[in-house]
Amino acid sequence: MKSYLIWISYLLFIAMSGSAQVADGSHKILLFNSEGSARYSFSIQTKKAELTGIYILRSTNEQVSGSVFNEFGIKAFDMIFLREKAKVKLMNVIGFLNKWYIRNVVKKDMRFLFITDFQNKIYKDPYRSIEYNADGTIVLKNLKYGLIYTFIPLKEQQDDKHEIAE
Amino acid sequence: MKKLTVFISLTLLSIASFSQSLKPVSPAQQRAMITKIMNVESTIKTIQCNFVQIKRLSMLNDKMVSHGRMIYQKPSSLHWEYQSPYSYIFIINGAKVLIKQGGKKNSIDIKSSRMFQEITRIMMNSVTGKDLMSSSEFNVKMYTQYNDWIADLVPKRHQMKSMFSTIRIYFDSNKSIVSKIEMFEKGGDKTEIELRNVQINTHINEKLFNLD
Repeated sequence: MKSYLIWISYLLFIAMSGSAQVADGSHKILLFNSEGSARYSFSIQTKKAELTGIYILRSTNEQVSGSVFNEFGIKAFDMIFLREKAKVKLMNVIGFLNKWYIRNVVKKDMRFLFITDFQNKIYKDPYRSIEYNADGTIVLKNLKYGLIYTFIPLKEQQDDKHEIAE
Repeated sequence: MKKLTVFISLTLLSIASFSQSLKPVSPAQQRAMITKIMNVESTIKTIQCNFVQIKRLSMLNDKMVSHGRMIYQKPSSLHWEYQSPYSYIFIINGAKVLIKQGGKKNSIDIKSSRMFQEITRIMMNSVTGKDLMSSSEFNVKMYTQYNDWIADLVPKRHQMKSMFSTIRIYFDSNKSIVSKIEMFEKGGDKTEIELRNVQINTHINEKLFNLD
């Protein structure tokens, strides 16, 4: 009986410590793995051009952090979404995007994405829409400025740790 | 006794770390190394290899590993292809760039974008080591580490500075060719590109540089 109770306590401890670190159960559209990480092939399509790259996200109970960089590894920006305040902060923004009006639009679009992700319904916004497919692809549209953000899930990389020694 | 063991272990660890550190070379040695690299570079007509790219993200304490292949032909043709975990092909042929991704093709004139000018310049000149001669573009400092020669390139121009604080190029000292490139960003991120199975002056399929 004693060993049975210890075993249950151990299982509860594992379950609780897991939920303290990762909040993956609270995401409705973004696909986070058991370690609280999500990886997407990402693009922003404007009326004149298209920027492509990779979007890596990490989720905790307090916030979602993310980094966007192009295929060659050049950083576009870092971001943090603070869950409690429902606020997005952008950091390390690359020169050509580092203009207050661009930052404002990107921040509001990302806020729309993360609020939708935490709610079980689409957050109503007259200027924005979001669609998500069964394969995990997410398309967010900023109708006011004609921007289309596309997120396509990247496959998990099982062999990463064996590639090159740290 | 336990404290002594910990002390000895820490001392040995410090010695081991120090021996792995970069050793600066004298100005005369630096000139000789660069001359040797440039002599080899002048004999290179083509390079083809596989590569592993690791993007290390300081804020997320995470990394992204990509695999691909690279084919270069003098004077200005490059086929840079990511094969996993995403498919992305970047072809430079003269002053034109073609990007192929997800069934889409996008053709760009390098002159129309400063960003692309810098990216193409870094890619073309880093794989051959040609950047070492760009004294107007970089402050260059050479080091040695085991069998590697290492060049630290600190950008001088604003556009490049906004992207990287330092570009570090590793050369195999026996062959004087590039084996690895590391690009350090101000925010603490780093991109490593390790070149593998490097083949010099072998036959190349010219169709790989087609911009159609």
